[in-house]
Amino acid sequence: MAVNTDHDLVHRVLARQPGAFERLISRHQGLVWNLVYRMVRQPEDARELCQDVFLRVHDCLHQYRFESSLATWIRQIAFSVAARHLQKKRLPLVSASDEDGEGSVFDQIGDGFDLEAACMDGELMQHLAEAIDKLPPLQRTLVTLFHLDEMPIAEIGKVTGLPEGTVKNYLFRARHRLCQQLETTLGVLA
Amino acid sequence: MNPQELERQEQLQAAADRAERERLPAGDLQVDAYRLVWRALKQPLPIALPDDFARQVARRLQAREEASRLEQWLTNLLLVILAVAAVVFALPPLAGALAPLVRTAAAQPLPWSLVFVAALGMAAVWAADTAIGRRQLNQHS
Repeated sequence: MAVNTDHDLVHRVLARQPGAFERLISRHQGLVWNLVYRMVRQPEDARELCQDVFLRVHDCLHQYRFESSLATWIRQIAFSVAARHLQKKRLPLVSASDEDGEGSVFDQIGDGFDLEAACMDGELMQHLAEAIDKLPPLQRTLVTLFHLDEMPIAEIGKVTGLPEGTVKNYLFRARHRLCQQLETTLGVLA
Repeated sequence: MNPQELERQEQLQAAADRAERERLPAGDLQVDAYRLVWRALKQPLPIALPDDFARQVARRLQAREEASRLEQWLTNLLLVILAVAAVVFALPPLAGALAPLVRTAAAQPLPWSLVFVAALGMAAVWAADTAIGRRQLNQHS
């Protein structure tokens, strides 16, 4: 029998139906991985933490009240597990020096920038991927939730416990920082 | 970042967001730079969880539950052993020591008012403890 809704799936897991918990994991493992891996960046740690997330989901599922979507609730747990991991390792969620610089090198590059060609430029995209990796963990997480997982700002606020304005501000700063990195890279490559 | 620059960057980001959503043709250099950032952020992560991840977690959960069941069984066994040991080794000397006291107490009249006050006190302590426990549970949930 097909499991269509979160409600149905949760009740099946709570009723200990064979395969139900595995189905819940399969359905949500991608979003948990995106969040946890972007936060901690170490694949081994991230894999271990993802398992911890789902074990905690299993332990706390009876407390889930369907007030938000199951995906949002699971993301909240994933965020909390990954944030605690970073705390234990004494890695700050937010960079202390989060000030953005000013000025643009695009004026010096001129008209030699072609968006579609840049997208196909593996080296350039690799530079950008590295720049994303270098963002502070919280910014990495927020851009992942917003751009990759396409979550609304309000939902991101629920997951991270941040006010919507703060989420927007971090997103703005993260993208600005990435754009600056891109400008620098283009300046080097030009 | 000064307010003018901040506003300009916000406009650039808004323009890039709109251009990406509406698939507008490229044109403005700085908007296009942000559009490239948008596209980079949309790229899937280079590595993913293994295909059998769900099964791995389910196995780990099963192992944990089995370990928990074994632990519970061992705890119960230990309690039974302790109870049997108490009956076999502690009860005879204890009964021997208490028998004279019980005989003496049985010979004297029971102070019922004192017993009633003691029962009332114990009930009050139990009720207070339950209320405190409930309040703490509500605060944590």
